[in-house]
Amino acid sequence: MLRIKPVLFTLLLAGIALSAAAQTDANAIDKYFQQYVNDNRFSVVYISPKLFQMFGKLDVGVLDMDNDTEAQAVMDMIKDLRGLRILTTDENVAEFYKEAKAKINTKEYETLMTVREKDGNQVEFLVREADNKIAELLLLAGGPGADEFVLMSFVGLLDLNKISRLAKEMEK
Amino acid sequence: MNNPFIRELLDKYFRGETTLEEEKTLREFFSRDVADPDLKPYQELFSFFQIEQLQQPSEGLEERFFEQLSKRETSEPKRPEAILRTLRPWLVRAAMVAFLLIGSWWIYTRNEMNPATETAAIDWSKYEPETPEEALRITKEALGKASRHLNKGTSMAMEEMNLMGEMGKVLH
Repeated sequence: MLRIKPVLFTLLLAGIALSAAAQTDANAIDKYFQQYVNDNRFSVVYISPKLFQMFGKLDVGVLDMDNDTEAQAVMDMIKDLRGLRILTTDENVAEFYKEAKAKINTKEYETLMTVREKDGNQVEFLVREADNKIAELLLLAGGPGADEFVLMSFVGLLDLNKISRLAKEMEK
Repeated sequence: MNNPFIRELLDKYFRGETTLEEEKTLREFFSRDVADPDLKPYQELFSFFQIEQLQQPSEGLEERFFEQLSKRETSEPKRPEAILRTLRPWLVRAAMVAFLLIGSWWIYTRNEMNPATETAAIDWSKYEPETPEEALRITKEALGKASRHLNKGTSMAMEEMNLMGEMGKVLH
């Protein structure tokens, strides 16, 4: 028993080190949608952690919002974000949506919500959790009736209540 | 002198039966000139003993002896095999850690190279907006979109729940 312990201990440490290395900035797009990024039919946007840091210094006036609370709600959310990746296309919308849904590992990503509207437009929210907190939010929109396929990945500690509140602020 | 007595003592001496007194008598006898040719050879032996006995051990010889002895025991340089034996468990552990590190590195790089998991990592930097202001606007839009969809989903779910509640009321 005693002789095995150091071995187990070492294995454990190596495992922790490996998983820690794998965790850094993991996101679904790097994992499943690399070919979309290099596909010319897609428009791609990436906001790096560095840019997110710079937002704090910006004047909220650039947001062009109706009031300060609204801007505050946005800034409040951005504070928690570490990366945003957006992939959009208006070609092959239904096909891409189906493909994307099939690609995402449901063991890692849990479906938060699926909305299918009458016109066939579908939206799906998926979350990846780490330590019981949302580490990544994926928004998948498309479907047979939609005119745009959207794939968004928000990386960072997210609070769904804050996101929900944001729309309410904007609708005011 | 009384040679028969001396002879008797000598016999006793070589049998190892003489007392200290008798040995002293023998030494005293042989310290003087011995006429008897039969006894002559023994004279040398006893005079040698007498000389030896005169030599006194120098001061603290015993202490120095034991000190040296214990020094040898403690600080005796270890032979290579002894060093190897004490280091062995650590060598084994170090080798295992090295093995695990090399192994995990190999797996890691192999995964990266694997064409099945797509080409090299995406160079996201080329998809970054040019200015932080632009990035902030995009982020706001993205969050707004996510928020709207999220709320649409929840409100639809709420409507369904209300509808079901109404139906329940009708049925009752």
